[in-house]
Amino acid sequence: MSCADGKNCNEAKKRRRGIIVLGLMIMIFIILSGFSFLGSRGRANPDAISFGAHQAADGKRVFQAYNCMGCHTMVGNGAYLAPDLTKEYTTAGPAWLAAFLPSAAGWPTEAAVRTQLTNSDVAADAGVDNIEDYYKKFPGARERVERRGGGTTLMPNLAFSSDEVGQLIAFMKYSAAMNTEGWPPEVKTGSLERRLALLNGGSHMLATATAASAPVAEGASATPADPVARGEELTKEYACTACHALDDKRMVGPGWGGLYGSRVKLADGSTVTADDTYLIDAVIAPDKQIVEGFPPGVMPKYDTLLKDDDVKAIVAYIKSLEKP
Amino acid sequence: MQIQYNTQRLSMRFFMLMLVLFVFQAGFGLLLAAQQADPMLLAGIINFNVVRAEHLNLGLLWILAGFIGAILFVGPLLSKRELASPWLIKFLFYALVVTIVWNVGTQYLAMEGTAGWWAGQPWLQEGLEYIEAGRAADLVILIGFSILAYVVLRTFPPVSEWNEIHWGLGIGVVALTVVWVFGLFYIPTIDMQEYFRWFVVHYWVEGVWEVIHISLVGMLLVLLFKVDVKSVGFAVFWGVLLVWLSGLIGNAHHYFWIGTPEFWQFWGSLFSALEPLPLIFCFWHVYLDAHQNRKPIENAPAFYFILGSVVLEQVGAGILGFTMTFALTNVWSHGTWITPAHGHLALFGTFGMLGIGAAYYAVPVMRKALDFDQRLGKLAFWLLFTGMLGIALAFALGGTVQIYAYRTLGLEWFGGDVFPIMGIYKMLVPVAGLLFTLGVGILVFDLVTLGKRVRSLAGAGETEPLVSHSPHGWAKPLTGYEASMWLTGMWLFGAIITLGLLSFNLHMVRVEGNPILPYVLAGIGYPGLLLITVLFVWRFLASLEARASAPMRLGEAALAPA
Amino acid sequence: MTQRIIDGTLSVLASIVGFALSWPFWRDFEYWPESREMWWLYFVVGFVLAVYVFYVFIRVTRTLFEHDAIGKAAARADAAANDKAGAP
Repeated sequence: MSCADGKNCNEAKKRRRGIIVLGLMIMIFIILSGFSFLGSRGRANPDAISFGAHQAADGKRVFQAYNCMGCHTMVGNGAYLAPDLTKEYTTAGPAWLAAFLPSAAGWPTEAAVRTQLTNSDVAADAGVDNIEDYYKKFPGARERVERRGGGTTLMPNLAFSSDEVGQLIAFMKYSAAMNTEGWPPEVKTGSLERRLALLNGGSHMLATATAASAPVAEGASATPADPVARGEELTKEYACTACHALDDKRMVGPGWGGLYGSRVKLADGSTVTADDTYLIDAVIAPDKQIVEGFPPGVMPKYDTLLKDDDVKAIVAYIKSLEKP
Repeated sequence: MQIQYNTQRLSMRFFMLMLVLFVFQAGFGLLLAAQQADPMLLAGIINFNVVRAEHLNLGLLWILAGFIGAILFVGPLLSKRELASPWLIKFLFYALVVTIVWNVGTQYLAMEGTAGWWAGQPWLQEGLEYIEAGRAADLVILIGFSILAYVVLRTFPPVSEWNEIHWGLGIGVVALTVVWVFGLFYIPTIDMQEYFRWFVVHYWVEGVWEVIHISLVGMLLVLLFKVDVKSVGFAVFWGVLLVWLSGLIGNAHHYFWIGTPEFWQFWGSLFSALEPLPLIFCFWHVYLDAHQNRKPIENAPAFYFILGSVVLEQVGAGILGFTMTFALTNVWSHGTWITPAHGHLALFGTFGMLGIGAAYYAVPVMRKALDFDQRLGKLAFWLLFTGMLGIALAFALGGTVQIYAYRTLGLEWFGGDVFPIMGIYKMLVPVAGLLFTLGVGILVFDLVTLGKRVRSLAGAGETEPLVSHSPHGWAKPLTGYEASMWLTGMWLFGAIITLGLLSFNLHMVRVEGNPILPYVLAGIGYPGLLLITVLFVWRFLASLEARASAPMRLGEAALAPA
Repeated sequence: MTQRIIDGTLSVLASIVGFALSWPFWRDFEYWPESREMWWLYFVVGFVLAVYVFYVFIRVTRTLFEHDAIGKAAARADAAANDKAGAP
């Protein structure tokens, strides 16, 4: 049946015409697809992008293996629980990411980002070697450190190896280099203070400002004489607990509770006692003695960041922690 | 109506599998909703991304199980003979069960970052939205689709005798297999990976499932209302062609921001704006066929779910899809909760409800329980329908404030700014989800035990006293004019939502940061759209229910042998 | 003929609305298939195709209603015939 009785409505011809138009559309689609991937467009190429010794192409496999898209979005596609990662590298930069990824459950502090900048690969990739220039180049890093540094995140700790961390950073460097044609839209609503005020009203802005500045002021003014108290403070400032539990649980690194004085099995098969010398070495030159079951190269070297007294204070703090 | 061909019974196991998977999928969905509200819930034990992968995969798989069941049930009727190679169908069933169990297990490996790389392919799990299954499962699924296509094509009569429904289902099952192939390769660049990922996802939904949907709806209408096959054939042909004329280039709405050139923004916007046309067409087709005669509906739950499928297709896929499909609106809605509002209604509404509707038609026939108690089925429909609308409402409103905080103000989730402002909507999702889950429970109980329960003497409402006065008011017959008014009303709210998303581009919102206009428009548009949808379905069903008591001279006459 | 003009006009109007919403206001012509000449080609071809799809939609939807009318008329004729035959 095609149309009302007694009329010749050329149904077969109309159907044929419809199918021909469909064929035309298929052709248009194929031609446009060809244009999209021609070499002349100069698309970002993951094979040509690296971070230190790590390749973006490998990072993509890590990204998929952990199903990052199951919480985050990438070019806007994914799960909308967690932030979009497309331009993350441009916003926060390699040092912040390197400080964050090994222990994603905690927000990196400024000290942690500064620690990463002492790594020549990271500094070379960022193109700066001090924190002030870094903040200028990657303003998102400052915003995060100032507003959240030392707090806990909503992301679970994932067991990234140090290679995987580097590869993921390389991958995000690649995604940030892509031309996404104007998405995400540029923010035009002004300074962070104004934007926060718009969202929450003026009161909240003050609250965050004071909350962010308070611990900094406290840390600068009073230096407790008691090494254990000083160690506890340093532990907070350098966000050691992002990787080390205060009991004997294993996180990214070994737990601290009851560590002092215990027998530690090393990767080379030998066993040592965790005394002052061992623990001081573990802070300033962690790769000298690697504990069995932990990958090398994950923990940064703190030799240039901490004074001798500070290291001793941290060890004293570790000593004060007992196994639960 | 009774079973005409023995092999139709093979559909039963697929319908039951569908129900089991639906229970698990809804369970995972509820857990996801709880984790949205409290992201620390079960963190480290079963992370959000794993739960979400299970939720998506099981969602696709139970819809497919429902499709397979429906196709197996109508296949012999269409071909007037038994299914070819029933042993292959049995094999397909067991292979499907094994693959599903395997896939549910392997998704968990994402917790520790194991993808099973071998020969450049992730064999255990792939970590790409919707196609998370690893290559091993992918290949088994490919074989499964091939078996389905083979059986359907072997069962059908020779091509020269095909009508449009044959063509629709035949092309549907073959294309199901072909499109799947685009997801079988690891692609090292993001833009090309997304380009081909949408080949699978968009062309499955828009190109293949839609075609199977139109054909099955057509066939079920023929069965439910004894409509003329030829007029349904006209609707099936043009429905399918319109789907492809709009949806083929319409796929480009996924290519706006993935690193592909900007000319896609024009092509994708213009043609995906046309994508609702076949849905409107299909809606009228169902309306007219359901009102062709004045016979009372014998199997109310089956028709409830088919109507739900066509209406939610209109609202979820058609209207909500339309609102966010333009580059100018999508630039804001992309990557926010606006998307799952559309996704949930479109996917569950259109395809899920069709599978359930087909099961409600087929199961009583196979169990010889045509006089089954229909009240539970109706209750389940209303719970699922309103529950899903509630979920979509929570997502849509949450998404609107999310756009403002995340995109307009550029405040990242990191600052903990977006979570608090979305808080109330994050709580609304599990609340509506509970309603939905209750519906799932009732639905599964009803379909599993249908025909096996001891029937209460009160019966199924057929013993109601026959009142022979004409129905009036809310239950009076729904005219085409009135239906078109309802439809226009829905689209008006759709237009308000579109304007709301467009208004994010205004200087007042984008620079001055004043969200009042988008908030007001969304606050009117979304609740209005979902409310009018509920009212319309209620009205439509009331007018059909009233037929049971209406004098039905015309209907009886039409049925009488000439 | 009048019917066709009305349908055609409706299709053009609808396509103009769709076209206006699809206009990429921020295009920058940076890549050669995005050059001005190519954009004009896209606009013309896209617009014509959109009008065609809309026109088809209007036509087939009307036909759907015509089928319904035919079906109803047939049912009515049947009913009338039955009433006559069934009368005692």
